[in-house]
Amino acid sequence: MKTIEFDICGQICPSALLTALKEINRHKGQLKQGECELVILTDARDATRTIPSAVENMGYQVDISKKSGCYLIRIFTR
Amino acid sequence: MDDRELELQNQELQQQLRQLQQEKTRLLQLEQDVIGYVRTKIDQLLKIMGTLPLRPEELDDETLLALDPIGIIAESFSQVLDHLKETNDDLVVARDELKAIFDATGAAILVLDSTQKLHSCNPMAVRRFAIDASSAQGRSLDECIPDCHALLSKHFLDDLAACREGKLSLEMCFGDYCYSLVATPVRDSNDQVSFYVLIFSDITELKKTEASLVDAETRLTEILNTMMAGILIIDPETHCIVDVNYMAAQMIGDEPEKIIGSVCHRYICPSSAGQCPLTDLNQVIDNSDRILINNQGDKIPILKTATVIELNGKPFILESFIDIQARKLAEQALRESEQRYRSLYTAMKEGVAIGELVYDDHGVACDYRLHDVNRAFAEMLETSTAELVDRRASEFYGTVPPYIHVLDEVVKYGVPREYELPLPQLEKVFHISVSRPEKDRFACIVNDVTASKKAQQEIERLAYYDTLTGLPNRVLIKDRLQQAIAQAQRSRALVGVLALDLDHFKKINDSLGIGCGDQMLKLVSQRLKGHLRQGDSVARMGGDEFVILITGIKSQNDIVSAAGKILDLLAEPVTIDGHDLVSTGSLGISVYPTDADEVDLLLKHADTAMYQAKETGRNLYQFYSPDMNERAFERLFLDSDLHRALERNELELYFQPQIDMVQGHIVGAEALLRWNHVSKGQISPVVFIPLAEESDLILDIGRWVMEEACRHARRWYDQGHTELRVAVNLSARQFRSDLPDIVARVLRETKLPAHLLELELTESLLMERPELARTILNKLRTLGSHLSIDDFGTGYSSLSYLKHFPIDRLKIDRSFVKDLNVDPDDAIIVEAIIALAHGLRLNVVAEGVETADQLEFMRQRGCDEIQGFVVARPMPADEFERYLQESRRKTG
Repeated sequence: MKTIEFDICGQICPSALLTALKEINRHKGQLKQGECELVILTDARDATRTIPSAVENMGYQVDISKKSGCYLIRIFTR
Repeated sequence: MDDRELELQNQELQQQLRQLQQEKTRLLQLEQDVIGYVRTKIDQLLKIMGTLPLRPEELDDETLLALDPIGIIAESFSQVLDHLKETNDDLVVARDELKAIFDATGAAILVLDSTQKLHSCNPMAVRRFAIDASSAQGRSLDECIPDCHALLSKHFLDDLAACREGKLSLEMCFGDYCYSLVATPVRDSNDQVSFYVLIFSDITELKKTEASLVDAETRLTEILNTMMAGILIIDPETHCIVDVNYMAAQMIGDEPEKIIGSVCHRYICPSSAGQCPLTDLNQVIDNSDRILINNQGDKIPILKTATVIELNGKPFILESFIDIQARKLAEQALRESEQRYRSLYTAMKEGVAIGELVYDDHGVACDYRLHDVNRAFAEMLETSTAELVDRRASEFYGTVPPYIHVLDEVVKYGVPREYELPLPQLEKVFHISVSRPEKDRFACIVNDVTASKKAQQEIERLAYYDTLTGLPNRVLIKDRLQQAIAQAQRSRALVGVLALDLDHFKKINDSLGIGCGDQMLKLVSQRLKGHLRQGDSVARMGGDEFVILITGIKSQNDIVSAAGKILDLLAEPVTIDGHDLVSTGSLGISVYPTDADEVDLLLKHADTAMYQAKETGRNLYQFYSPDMNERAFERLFLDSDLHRALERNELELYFQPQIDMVQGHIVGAEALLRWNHVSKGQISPVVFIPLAEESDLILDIGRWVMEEACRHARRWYDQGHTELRVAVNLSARQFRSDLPDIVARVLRETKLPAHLLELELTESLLMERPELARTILNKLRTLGSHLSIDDFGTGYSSLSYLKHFPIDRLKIDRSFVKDLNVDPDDAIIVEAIIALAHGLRLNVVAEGVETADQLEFMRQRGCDEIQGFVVARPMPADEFERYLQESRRKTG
């Protein structure tokens, strides 16, 4: 499985959310098939609430971890 | 182009421009409205997505459009919707699944609404609680569940309504079932109770199992604590005791609480600490004798079994043990006892054998096999134990073993038996005692009784048989007589008891010696035995007395003929040591049941009759008659008195004159002995002489008679009767070789001329030992004495012998004289005797002449002298003296 990473540091919500959603939409086929997972790097604290809430309603799994001042939001299907 | 035209054109253009400006304003307004609308909608969407509105400074209008947030969100929503749809599908499945579970579950489920009315229930609840499913929904529990209060109390339902969080649970029974009830309020998003779910799980079996487990545990605990074995449960890792039963605590002597927690080595197999057979030596089970050390430090022998068991998934050592102290002591005692018995068994002189019977196809005992024998047994059979053990008895006997039926009975019924087993091949007799030591076995104790058997037979022979003749003795004949009486009683027959005494047997003993007498007895015995009828018996009672039993007879005549036969048998002469001897006998006869009906009396009567026969005259038989008894009784005490008669001067001589038939005067006198018994008065010599002859007393008496007679004769001689002869009877016992010396001494002492003494002898005395008789007679004759033969005619004298003896006179027996006038034969005999005597130049004296006729007969026949009542009775010496003087005066 490949990991697609993108950095949206500097963006704040809601644009961080829209960016994340845009990327998810773009890769939804692969994500749904479980062929890839998305890892979003963000420094926006709000995003760690808004992004998981949104993507879980879309049927994805989310976990959040923190790495050197950034949040790593991993999005995948089971 | 004109101006007008131009104007017109300009005006038109102006118009157009205004219109355009107006359009531009309107369009600009429209754009603002659209963008405003877009932003509003984006914010609205973002809000739905859960984030903040999009601020204008964050994203200008152009970037906003380029970013296409609505597209993004729309796209995302599309995915949300997809996800919702998927979720919905999953929920439908889940609901169906729940419904299936709800319907099929083994638990009964009631769902109540917030007002505790029945909302729904599953089929199990319908069945268990008898709910009418069609009309139940929406109704109160009271209405739809019969006996509802037994299922759900009001108290419980109130608790449930008040339940703020969690659930209520309860165990209860309803109908035939037990339930575990879990009641859970279901709350809506507003935390308001919308439903109560009541799940009744059936725990009936569980409860039963629980109850039986409790029972089982109670039972096991009870067993554990009442069993007589001690039990310890031990942790194999620490060797600590984790449980102990009552008996183990008793044996150890401590409270269970003190024992639990101790190391097991403290109490059991302490000697092998660190050597636990299970944990250290890897044994699966340990079953051995160990020592238990109790709290007093006593060492108690135990039999311990240790094994590993699993309790609740953990291994434990289970040790059980029993106190074997008593058993050990018993074993020790048993060993010692066994040792004792084994050595006894080996050393005892009795043979012992243990065996087992062998049966044929029909289950009949036909053989036996010996399992063990002791040394004595083998020695008795003159073989080795190896030859006997595990061999069949039939191999030894060569046939079915004897007494197998006895062994069989002992093995079957267990009652000990004894028997005697003769083994001719070994010339032995064994006494065998059989018992049953254990099931299907027999044990024999064997004694070799060969020697004792022989001794027994010998004893019996001595006890019941006469050693000299081999005839039955007094004891046995009494027994036989008893049997004969019993037999006769049944068959109404007679039994003749014949007492036989040999005549003159003492003479044989005295003159020819005891050896000769014994031989005589043997010969007589053989003769009697040889001529007995079947069933008759003869016994020797002692001395020369015999008893003969005549059985199976119907009349006295049979006895008469038997008695006659016996006398004939005896009368035949026998030859012993070259001597021809005649041994007549006298028979006394008693008869059952005429004379008596018991053994001793019959024998006594026969004896009495026999003595009577002897007195009457020998060689004849005499039947018993009751009056004989008195005489027999007299005999008994006379015998003892007779011994003192001489000392007491009770004997006296009577004299009976002998008359010369020609001259008519007294020529002699026969001296006759009388016994003046102190209390019985005068007793006839016929009674007491035979008694005296039984012993040497006759010698003393005989000598006294001779001296007394001679003394009197000498006195009469001195008184002038110088030719008066005195006759003295000699007993057979006196007729011995010393007789001439005795006679000579008496003559010398009394100074009687020898020719005045006449010695009277019986003919049988001469005939039995003729040589000795002649020698003695010659010597007497030399002395000068006269000799006469007494009782002539009754014996068996060979007349021709007479001439060889120096005889002077014959005395005709009184029995001939007595019957002269009635029996012509007797007259002829008397005539013949007189003729014979005269032919041999002998004088004849007739005895017992009692009548004038007899006197006349004698005178006519030329008899020389007579003696008898017709002349005078015997009289005492002084009377005879007077008679003599009287007679002399008469005859002048």
